[in-house]
Amino acid sequence: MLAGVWSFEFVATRTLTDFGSVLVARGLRYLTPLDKLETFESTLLAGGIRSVSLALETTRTPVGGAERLEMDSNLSIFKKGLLLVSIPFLTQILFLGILVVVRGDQAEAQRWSVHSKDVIARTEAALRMAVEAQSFVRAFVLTGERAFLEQYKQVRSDFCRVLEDLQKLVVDNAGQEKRVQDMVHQGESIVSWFDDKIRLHAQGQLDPILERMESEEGPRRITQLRALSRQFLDEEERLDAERQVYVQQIQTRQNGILFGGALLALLTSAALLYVFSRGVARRLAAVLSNVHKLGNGQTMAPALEGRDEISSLDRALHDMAEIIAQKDRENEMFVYSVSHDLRSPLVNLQGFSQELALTCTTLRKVLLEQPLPLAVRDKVLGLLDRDADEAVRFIQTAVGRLAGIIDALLQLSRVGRVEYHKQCVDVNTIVRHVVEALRGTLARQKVEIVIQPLRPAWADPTAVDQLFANLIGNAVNYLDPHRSGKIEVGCTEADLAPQNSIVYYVKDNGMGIAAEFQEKLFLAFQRLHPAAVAGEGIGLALVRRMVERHNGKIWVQSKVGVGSTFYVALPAPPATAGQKQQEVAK
Amino acid sequence: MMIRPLHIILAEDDDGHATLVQRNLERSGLINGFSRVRDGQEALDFLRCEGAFTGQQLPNPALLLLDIKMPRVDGIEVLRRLRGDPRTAMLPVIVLTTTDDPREIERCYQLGCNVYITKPVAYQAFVDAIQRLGLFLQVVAIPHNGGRSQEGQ
Repeated sequence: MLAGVWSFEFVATRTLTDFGSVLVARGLRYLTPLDKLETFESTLLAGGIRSVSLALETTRTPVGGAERLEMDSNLSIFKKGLLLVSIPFLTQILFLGILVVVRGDQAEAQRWSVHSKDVIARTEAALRMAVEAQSFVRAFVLTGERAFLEQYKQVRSDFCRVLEDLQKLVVDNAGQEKRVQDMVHQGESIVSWFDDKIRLHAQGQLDPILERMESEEGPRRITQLRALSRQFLDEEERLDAERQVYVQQIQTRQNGILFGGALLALLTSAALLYVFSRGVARRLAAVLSNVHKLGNGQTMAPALEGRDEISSLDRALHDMAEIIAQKDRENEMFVYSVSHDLRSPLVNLQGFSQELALTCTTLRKVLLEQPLPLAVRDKVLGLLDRDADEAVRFIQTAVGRLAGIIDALLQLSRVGRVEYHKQCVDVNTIVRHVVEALRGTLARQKVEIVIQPLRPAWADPTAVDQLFANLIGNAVNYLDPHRSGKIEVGCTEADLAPQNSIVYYVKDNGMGIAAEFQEKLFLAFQRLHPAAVAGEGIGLALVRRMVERHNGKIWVQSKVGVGSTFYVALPAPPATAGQKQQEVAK
Repeated sequence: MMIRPLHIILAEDDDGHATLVQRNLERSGLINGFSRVRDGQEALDFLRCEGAFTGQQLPNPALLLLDIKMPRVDGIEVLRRLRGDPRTAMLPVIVLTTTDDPREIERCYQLGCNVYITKPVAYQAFVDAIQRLGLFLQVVAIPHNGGRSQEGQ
């Protein structure tokens, strides 16, 4: 795609400041690729805008789509907003300027039209005056009334003045000027003929006057003037018609510009809105999706390119996620080393309590073998059996509990640190293995277990194994002793699941979980039925951590006395791998 | 084939652990030779007959029970240095520690430990392991030059 760098030259719209024209040029640079600009230019020219020239600089640099997008993302929101407001505004100003010019043209054309009519009117007046002058001269010569003479003089001067005016009015047209010149000559000859008559009358020479009157020289000269003026008027009327057409044309053009301007303003706004929405709304949506992913503990999309506020926001979000992950790792490392250090003294506690028990046994043997007074032997044996044994038993129970907690902590920290080898996992086989391992317990408790066909997942096989072992183990452990147990494992669809994931469920008809306990269920060291099964209550915490590390999701639906269903969403394998695995599973 | 008494060297900073190991070794009859060092540096000195142990002779055959977490020089470092020294490269080493981190175990095997035993908190299992080891060591003759024992392969 080609993009150009352009500058505008505003000849007509002088109101536009340098700042304004620069902004328009820059705005269009972001908005319009070269081909669109050329269209814009030709639109302006087609609209008959002679006074605005759109200069296209010759530097045409090829710009890729990605690079243009980067320009979008490098503009700050403030600048984008400024463009959004200023470009339509400046387009309006540009069109206002054009309109002013076109209106000027129209006024000029109308002025010329009026001028033509004026010329025509004056010419006709001149002809009328010539005829009037003839009448007054004839009346004066026949009657000798001075009033007629005065009137003649008046008309005569008016006639001369009108002809002079006409001469001035047509100076712009050589042809008409020549014609007016002829008319003036003819007018002068008419006037001199009349003046001659009056002179002869004053001298009292009546015969020559009558002779002249009979010769019809006066009317002939006037007819000649009329003929001359006819030519002149024809030409003037032709000009007038031409000017009328021109006025019409300008009117049409003005309408076209108004319409085109409105259309262009509309298109500019729409294009800007598109750019703005692409530059802001879409990028904001990407950030929002990252926030959701961070909240759900999923991997975020890579940071947005660019230098605007939105990409800064996204980078800050990524930094924050990195800090959180770092804290998590530190936390897990801390738990690991602390529980590890706790193990060492525990070995001593356990070992020496065992030693103590051994010593007690040896002591008992010695007491029985040695000849001692019966009372002493019974007393010492009593102390050994009751007090020492009890103490050792309590110590060992406590150590056992402590060891269990420490092991649980170590497991929890390991589940966060252990490296996963994700692959296409055949969940059917894994679940069958888990159930096989539990066969003894299942038979003893008369549990009916149903395994529906399970779709493969993209996960770590060991983790999936642990996950189902925990969930199925829990289902078995927390069955209701008053009815025969029923457990079902299968696949389903769920709205809660992240995109592109497989949802598995483990359903039982056990004791169920009270609603207020359900949110604590996945936290470590929370136990609902401590009496039912021994343990530290970390199974579900481990499962949750494993699922989260797979970018999956776990949740539960349960009702006390009815049973519980645990749902686990794991990522689906990439299309090709999954299909192959499914065929194998069949 | 004549069985020569095996000398066991225990490198362990925790007195309690040391006592427990020693008692159990004694119970399983491995009492012919037993020395205890308190940290990695002392273990190295003992095995190389350097420092405080200058002039002494290293008992033969010998076996090192090595704890990982020790002050001054830790067990991993001791193992690395022993394997780098031709005099001690063939000494059988049993790593004995509370860590059950698979990566730590892998590292010990890579550095050439022969057996890795996790000190279990379930004490009886630990005692059993030590006793089995004692019996094993009594049955399998450690070669005169202190070469690698079979079970470490």
